[in-house]
Amino acid sequence: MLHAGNPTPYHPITLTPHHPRQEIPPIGPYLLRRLIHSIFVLLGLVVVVFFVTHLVGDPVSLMLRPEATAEQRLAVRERLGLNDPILVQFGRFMGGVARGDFGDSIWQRVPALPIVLDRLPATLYLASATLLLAVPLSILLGIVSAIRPGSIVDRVVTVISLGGVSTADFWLGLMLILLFAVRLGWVPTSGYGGVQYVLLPAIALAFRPLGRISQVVRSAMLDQFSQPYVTTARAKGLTERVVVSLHTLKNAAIPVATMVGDEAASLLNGAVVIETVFGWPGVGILLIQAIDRRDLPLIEASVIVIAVMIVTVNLLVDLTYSFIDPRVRYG
Amino acid sequence: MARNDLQVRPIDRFIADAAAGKLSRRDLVKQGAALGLSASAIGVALRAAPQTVLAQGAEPAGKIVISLSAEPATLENWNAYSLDGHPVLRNIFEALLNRDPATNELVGELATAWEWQDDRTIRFTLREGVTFHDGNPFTAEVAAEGLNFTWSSENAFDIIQFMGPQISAEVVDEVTIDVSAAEPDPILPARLYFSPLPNMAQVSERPDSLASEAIGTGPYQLVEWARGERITLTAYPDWWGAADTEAAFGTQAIKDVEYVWRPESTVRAAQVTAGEAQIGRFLAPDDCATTPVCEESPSVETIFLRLDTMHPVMSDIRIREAIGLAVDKERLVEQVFGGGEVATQMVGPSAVGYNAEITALGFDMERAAALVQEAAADGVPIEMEINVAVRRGAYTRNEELGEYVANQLNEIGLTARTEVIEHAAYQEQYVMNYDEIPVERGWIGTLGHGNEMMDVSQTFSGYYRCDGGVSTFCNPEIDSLTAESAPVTGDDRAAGLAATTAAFMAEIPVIPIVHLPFFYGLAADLNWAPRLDGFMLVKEMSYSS
Repeated sequence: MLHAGNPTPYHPITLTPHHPRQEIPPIGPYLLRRLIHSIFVLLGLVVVVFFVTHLVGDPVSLMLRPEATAEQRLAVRERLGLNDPILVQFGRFMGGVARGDFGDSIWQRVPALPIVLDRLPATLYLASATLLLAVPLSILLGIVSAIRPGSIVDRVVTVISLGGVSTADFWLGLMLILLFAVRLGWVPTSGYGGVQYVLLPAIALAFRPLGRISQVVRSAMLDQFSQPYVTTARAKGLTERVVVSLHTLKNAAIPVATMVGDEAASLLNGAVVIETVFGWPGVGILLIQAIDRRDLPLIEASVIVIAVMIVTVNLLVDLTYSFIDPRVRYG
Repeated sequence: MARNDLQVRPIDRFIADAAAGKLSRRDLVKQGAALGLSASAIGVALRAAPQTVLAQGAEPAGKIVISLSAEPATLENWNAYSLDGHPVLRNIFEALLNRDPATNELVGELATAWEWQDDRTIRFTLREGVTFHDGNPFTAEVAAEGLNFTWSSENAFDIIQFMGPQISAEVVDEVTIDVSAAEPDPILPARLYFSPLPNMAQVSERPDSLASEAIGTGPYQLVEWARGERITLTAYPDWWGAADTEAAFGTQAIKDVEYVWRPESTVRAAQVTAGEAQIGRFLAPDDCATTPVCEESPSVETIFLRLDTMHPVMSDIRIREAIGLAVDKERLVEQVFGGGEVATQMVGPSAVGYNAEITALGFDMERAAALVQEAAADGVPIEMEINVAVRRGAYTRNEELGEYVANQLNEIGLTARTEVIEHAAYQEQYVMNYDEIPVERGWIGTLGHGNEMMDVSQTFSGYYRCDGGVSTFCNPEIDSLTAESAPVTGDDRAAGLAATTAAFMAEIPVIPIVHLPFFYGLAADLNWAPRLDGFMLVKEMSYSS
């Protein structure tokens, strides 16, 4: 279908081999700009995290029983260095951060950063397994749905997507445990370990990204199908498989990459509910426990580590953009 | 609520079976209680049981997996007081004193005898031949230094919240130490039962290792702490108790112990049902019912409503009585908490100073509504809002209790709403003294109180007194009574404390609801009777198979 006067830009990625090419800038300066930007984001975050965590309340009130005397509270505050002026504490904190030392966890009484770093592999493992399940399947479902909009297949995929987005993680996790671990005995109920341990939490977590990504894929593919270059491709006699796999899919990839990045960031940020249900030793549950106890060093270390991961994911997404559509390197 | 095939046997058969070692420790407790035997008689039978195991010459064997709700924060000895710490640490570390699991009386552990020297000092005779898991000997010097380290105000470990007057210890001779309180402290022995002793060689040589490497004298030694995942222990081959099971109140029947933690009660129950764990701790009653054996155990925890008595509405004792009358405690115990006993005061019968003559306010909505109207006629502003404040997740079905109470208060003509508050924000409001609380706050806190010292004087300092850390009540006469009764020793102590409690409860500053039971899901072949203090000592566990 032709769209005379349609302002939507023509995407000359694969169908204009003879079009005079504009010179593509190298990736290096672009990457450097993004890195510097990320470092400023992290520095700002370090300052905000310190003051917010120190202003929200007193950890000693959570550590001791209500019956503890004022002298006992004072002694514990002194031990933790909480009686010093806030600026002194900030100076100490920034000096520590520069050395990679966030201080000792108030709760666990060992250095905070190693505690968080110990949890990192579990978080990365679960996030990877979840994305490995969700991304290919959601792209497949999105494409199938977009090829025949309004068909039964499309409607089934839509129901699956909406179900995935709206199902409560907590309920789904428990149901999976009761069915596959307790009733059928196929996998362990919970815990951290090999594939058999990651399967249920990854399935429970994959439902939401599956729903969201498949809807974005469907929408992006439908948008591309309405573009003139697709009509041209079809008019040239290319098969539908070629049109989809070589042309529309690549052009639809930017919003999909955005969504996958968003889901990855959300998983790295901590799948708190699923980690809680399955006893998965990830960063998310650790952060919640630290907040519950107002463990200031552990909160600060967790937030910064999570922020570094998210900034890294965003950087990777930006790089992906630049490979999908090199024009973004001009920005 | 337990194993269905439990049969009550006649006393003579019970005694014969106990002597022959045919009964598990759990069945001994249950059948003994069913036969009306006294706690001390059951205790005698219980002490016979472990000897039977040893008489068979069995080496420690097998493994137990215990599923907890939370991971220990630290493996330092002082953390053995905490709910997350003691299930693990009380198996690694030992204290001077323990409690007899059947009678709940204080008994020797690392001490073999003790005697009050005056009203501040106790002289302990120490057990000989005890070694730490690294081979270092347990000596009088180590014991005294260990106590001074644990209770040091300078170290300010969290356990100091259980200290009354400053505790200190000194060596008398090679097997004797004196432990003193800075002022007279009748419950000093109970405080010492709460504080297991550290390995002072480790403290001085490798202090950085204390948080993650527990080295005690107990029946089990640490193998590995995979943070976030599990803790594993194994039987300590040179444990002193192996040669004296009667004094040790247990045996090393089980060789290996693994602790895992799952915050969700349903998952802990599922682990037991699926055979992945042999004990699921602190289950919700419904979850517990799905496990092979569900044990309901009394605890030292009491659920109660704490009223802001400075509030213009709740300052009137008729309103406080009306609130008490509007809460159907028996129904709550049965339908919300799934068991336990209706509470009449803030401590249970296990505590010294428990007053058996106090009765709970009955359930009478008509009388409650009439009291409210009577107060309103006298100018009490019953339209002022009362806020039933619930700490999210503090205990099972806390939120339901809050909803129920607010609903009942509205039914009798008061104006109430429920507010569920996150732990940290709640604590800010909770840890506030009578004088600091804004008059208009109008909180009814749905709280839990644990009396781990099993002595009501521990409760005085928090709730009874005007200067109590979390007191919402103030009456100088009650203050005087607490000051007079708390230091008393000897036979008069219990009576004095009980009289103080009666005077306090007559003012209705709190509405006790239930002495909360704990629910444990157990594997079918595990023999274990949960203790009142909640300690999970593996030396008291065995398998019947």
